[in-house]
Amino acid sequence: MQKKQNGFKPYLEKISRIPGLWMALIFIVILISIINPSFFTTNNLLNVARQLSIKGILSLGMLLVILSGEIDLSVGAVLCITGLFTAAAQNAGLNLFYSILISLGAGALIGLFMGVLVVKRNLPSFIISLAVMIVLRGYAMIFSKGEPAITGLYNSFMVVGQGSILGIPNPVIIFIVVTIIFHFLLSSTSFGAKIYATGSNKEAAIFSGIKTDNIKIWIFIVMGITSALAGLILTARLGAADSKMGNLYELDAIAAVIIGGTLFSGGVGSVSKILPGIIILGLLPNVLNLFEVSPYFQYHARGLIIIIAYLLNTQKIHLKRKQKLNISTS
Amino acid sequence: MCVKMKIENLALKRKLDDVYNFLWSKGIERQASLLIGLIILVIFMSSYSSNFLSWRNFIHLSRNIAISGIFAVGMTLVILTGEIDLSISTTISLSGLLLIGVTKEYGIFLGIVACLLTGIIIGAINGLLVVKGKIPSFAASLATMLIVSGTAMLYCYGSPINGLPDGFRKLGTGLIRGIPVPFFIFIAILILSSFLFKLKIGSYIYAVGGNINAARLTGINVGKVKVFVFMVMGFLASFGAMILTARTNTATVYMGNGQELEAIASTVVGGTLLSGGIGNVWGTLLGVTIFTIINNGLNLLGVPSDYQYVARGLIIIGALLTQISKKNTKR
Amino acid sequence: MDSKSIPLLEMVEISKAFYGTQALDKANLVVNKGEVHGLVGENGAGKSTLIKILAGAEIKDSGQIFFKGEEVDFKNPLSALHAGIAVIYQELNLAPNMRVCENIFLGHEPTSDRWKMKFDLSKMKKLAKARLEEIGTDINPMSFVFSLNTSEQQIIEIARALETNADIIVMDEPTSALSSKEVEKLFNIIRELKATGKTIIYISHRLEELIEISDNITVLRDGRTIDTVKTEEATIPKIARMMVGDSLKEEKKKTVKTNFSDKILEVKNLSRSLPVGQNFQDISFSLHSGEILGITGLMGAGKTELARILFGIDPFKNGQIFLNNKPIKPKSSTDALKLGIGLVPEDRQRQGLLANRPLIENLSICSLDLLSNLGVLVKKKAYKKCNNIISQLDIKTSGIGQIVSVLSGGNQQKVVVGKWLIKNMQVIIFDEPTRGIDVGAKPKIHNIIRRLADEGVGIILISFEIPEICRICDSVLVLYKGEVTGKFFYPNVKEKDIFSSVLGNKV
Repeated sequence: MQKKQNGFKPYLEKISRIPGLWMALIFIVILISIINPSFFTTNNLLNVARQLSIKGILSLGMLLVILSGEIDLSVGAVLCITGLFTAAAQNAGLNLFYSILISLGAGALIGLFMGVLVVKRNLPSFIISLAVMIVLRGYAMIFSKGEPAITGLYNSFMVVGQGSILGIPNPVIIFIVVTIIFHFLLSSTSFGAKIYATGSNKEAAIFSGIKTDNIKIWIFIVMGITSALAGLILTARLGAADSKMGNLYELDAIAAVIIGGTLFSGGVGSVSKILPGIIILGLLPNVLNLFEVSPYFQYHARGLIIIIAYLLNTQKIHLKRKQKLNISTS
Repeated sequence: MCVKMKIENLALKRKLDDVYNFLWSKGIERQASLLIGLIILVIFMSSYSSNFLSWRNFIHLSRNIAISGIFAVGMTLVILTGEIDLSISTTISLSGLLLIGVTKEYGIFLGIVACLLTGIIIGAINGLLVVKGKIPSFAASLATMLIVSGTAMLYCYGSPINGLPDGFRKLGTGLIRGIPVPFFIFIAILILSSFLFKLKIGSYIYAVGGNINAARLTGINVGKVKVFVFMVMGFLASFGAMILTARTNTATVYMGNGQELEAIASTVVGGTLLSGGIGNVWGTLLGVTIFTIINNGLNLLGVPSDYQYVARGLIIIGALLTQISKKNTKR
Repeated sequence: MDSKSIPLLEMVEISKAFYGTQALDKANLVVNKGEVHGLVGENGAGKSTLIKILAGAEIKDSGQIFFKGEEVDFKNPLSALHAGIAVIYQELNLAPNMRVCENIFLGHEPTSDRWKMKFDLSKMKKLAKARLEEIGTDINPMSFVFSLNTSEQQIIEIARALETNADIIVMDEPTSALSSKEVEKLFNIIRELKATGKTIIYISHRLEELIEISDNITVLRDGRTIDTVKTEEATIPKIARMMVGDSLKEEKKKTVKTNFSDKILEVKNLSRSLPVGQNFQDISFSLHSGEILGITGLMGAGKTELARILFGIDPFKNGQIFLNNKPIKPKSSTDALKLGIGLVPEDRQRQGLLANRPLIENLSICSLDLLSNLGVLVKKKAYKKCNNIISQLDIKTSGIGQIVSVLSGGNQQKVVVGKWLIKNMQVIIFDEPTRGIDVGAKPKIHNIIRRLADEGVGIILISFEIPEICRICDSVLVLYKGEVTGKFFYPNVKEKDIFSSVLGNKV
């Protein structure tokens, strides 16, 4: 069915195949370089990269959750509480390994708790995670006993957030590693295949022998560990842990996943698709600065991004379906 | 003779069955136990703190119940249709800010209009996103929350504003025969909501929440019903904000924080199912009362606010765990 | 023109396709005023689609509908309702959390105020009571629907249909959840309705009921209207024969093995007693390696329920299942898979396919452990096996990355079958595998089944199409309302005998 085309049409076709998001990203980068070339100093870029690495890690975990058809609004709170845990542990003299382990373990346990409630009691994940978020935020305030921040972290720990290897900041390295792991997980493991199946059609997944309940619980556990990891990095970077860390980070994570074409119903989406979304959201504060727009527009931007991206996603799927229906019945 | 008695008993039993079913459908079955719990709570509180049963505290309580209650009633309507609204906190803040801001420049009348219109418009946006945009309501209202939050911050540059005319302030602070004005307003709203359920659209709210397909097939405009409840929620959010602002004479960007959670919690504790269709505003009234008393009691006992925050979250989880799945209905 | 001579409803050459499956193929339906018209056909015959098109819930691809002599085209359910066509679906459409009278008047409540906004509850109560008494029931109009049983809820739906001044009331499988006493009650109501000039379209797979209550019966099969007969001239066997089809002439006659060695599966006294669906008692049979066992019976005989238990989706309390002479009790589909039991489900769209995922994922989903090494997928192996399946089954696709929702019905079915071919399964259960597929594709599925049997897999083929059963099966088990009414072994697998058992006659 391929018609022969001549002229520069094939080039247009080739260009139109590059996913739209990367185009948008390139466009933004070009825009910035025109208006404010000083943006592209190594220092600045590394800073931006450091920032978005933490949110990027959260987005990767969130991708898994949304792919399976659920949502997790507690990730910012988990980040915060686990950061506080590790800071407190280090303050108390616990060795580095165990103080990291405590955080990751706490994240895993919180995820387990949420997963079990969602799956076994059939409760909507948005409200469960919302309630957990409240509890954890409150507990974070109690835990930090109103003190501004817990400091006194090991130097070896702070390196994780502040150091770099071969010029690349550690958080970025960790983000890249996590990205590779998650991409691998989703595209090349049976666990990943089961996640897509669970999100795409839960009943069919069950009829194919998949234990969808277990998959969902594991996803929440992974999300918990991921949030804890982000908490560790942020704490290391700040050099301290306080009870306001990670505020509203969950919204950024969700926004990045939605931009990447994922639907809330699950089953569609991938790591490579949300990467440009993560970067775009990371650049957002800078873009807004460029146009000398009030920093408050951050909020508008995120809200609008979620809405517009979601509407585009549903439109695209609607059109695709119509298109393909015409092809198959003709 | 025995047969006649048997028939009478049967009729009586049927009547009792019907009464029971009525109560169950409106979620009142749980509310009876809630009421008992509330009474126990009151007794407990009064024995622990001498301040609890004071007249002053009662005024304080009733004012809080009223304001929280206004928000909760709106939320109940939204949840009855099977949706949720997570944006009311920012709606409250923006409405309050606009009330003071516009009043200062254009007078109180326009200030009120701006305030109430804000809520209605935000509600309409939520409704349209859900109905036309087909965005799940939790996501749509989250997005709206972000946009409204930004708008609120832009409007006041992050700092609180104040300055309402004294006469207007009576709305929040005034007393009529010793009972706070907000309380009367709240009662009025409760009565209005009862009236709402006598209207067709009130009935349709239950139909949409009970079986949305059935509602559609009978020609009910499901979209209209949903947009309506979101707009009512928005209106009540700004209306409550008006009273809140009148009381404190200040509006800040974060004055609405936590209100959505309390509204949802009160609704859920009050017996309304998150999946929609079952529940009513009187249960929510009980829920609001319980929450307010708990808050008040914790305050009187000197419990720090962080613990209160945690307690609130735990209560929500607890209430959710006791939600009866709609599928496990009586037969 | 005499209005009695024009049929009240004429559906002419209605066709409708869904994503490549031809649900209706020039189907016809003619209903006269004042009759009870039975509409019959097995699952997938097109009955629901035809009715949905009539009710405005689906839009036809082609064809015409004439109602009261004029051509109509209902774009939504409301317009059909206003025209006078009411449908009572099998999954009753009542708001369980509201009262009987509220449901009866839902959408068009009588009002008590000038602006028509306030509904008049006492008026609704009175009118509802009158309507219910008209039908002949004493249900309290103020009762809540969730407290009523299915039979009562159905009556409410009828009352609601009457309240909309419906000329035609369509009842879709009204008796599937009713006791025989309640069925009698329903029939009395139907007779009353008929006496008042209403027209009823009665959809059911229960032939005895159709014979009792209807005046004419239209039989659908594979989306086509086979015939319309006068009930007084019809017999159950005649109708059933029309439903289950003529012999397939294109296929070769099978060569049958008679010596089966290893007993792969044995079921002893299996029973089921769950609240929903057909229950059964005392089912026993055995299956050998390489044998194709057919399980047949009319809709509601318990075939799918049996399949679900064997596949671990539903539990069973009494009875035993042996796999290779070892007792098993699969508690989940995961268990069944591990044991080597597979199921090609009845509902392809809902239970068989991951519609928005690519072909390769759909094919490999049941064999993930085989295709991976310590959890990591060996892509090369997966590609190879999947391409193998694609060529084996001749799946027409643009590549392993194609999203399956765009494949044609036959190809989709091949995918649903194909996913069980990667791993070596011991037993594969096929539940209506050729439903909704065009005639040309059916032999292909049969060949796949035969080939699997040749390789030693134990096959259970569930089908209501007796010719299909006779053509490929080595032995046949017949179910009727949850009971075994016949067991047949080659060479005594004869259509006539099986047919008789299907209708309930024990052998």
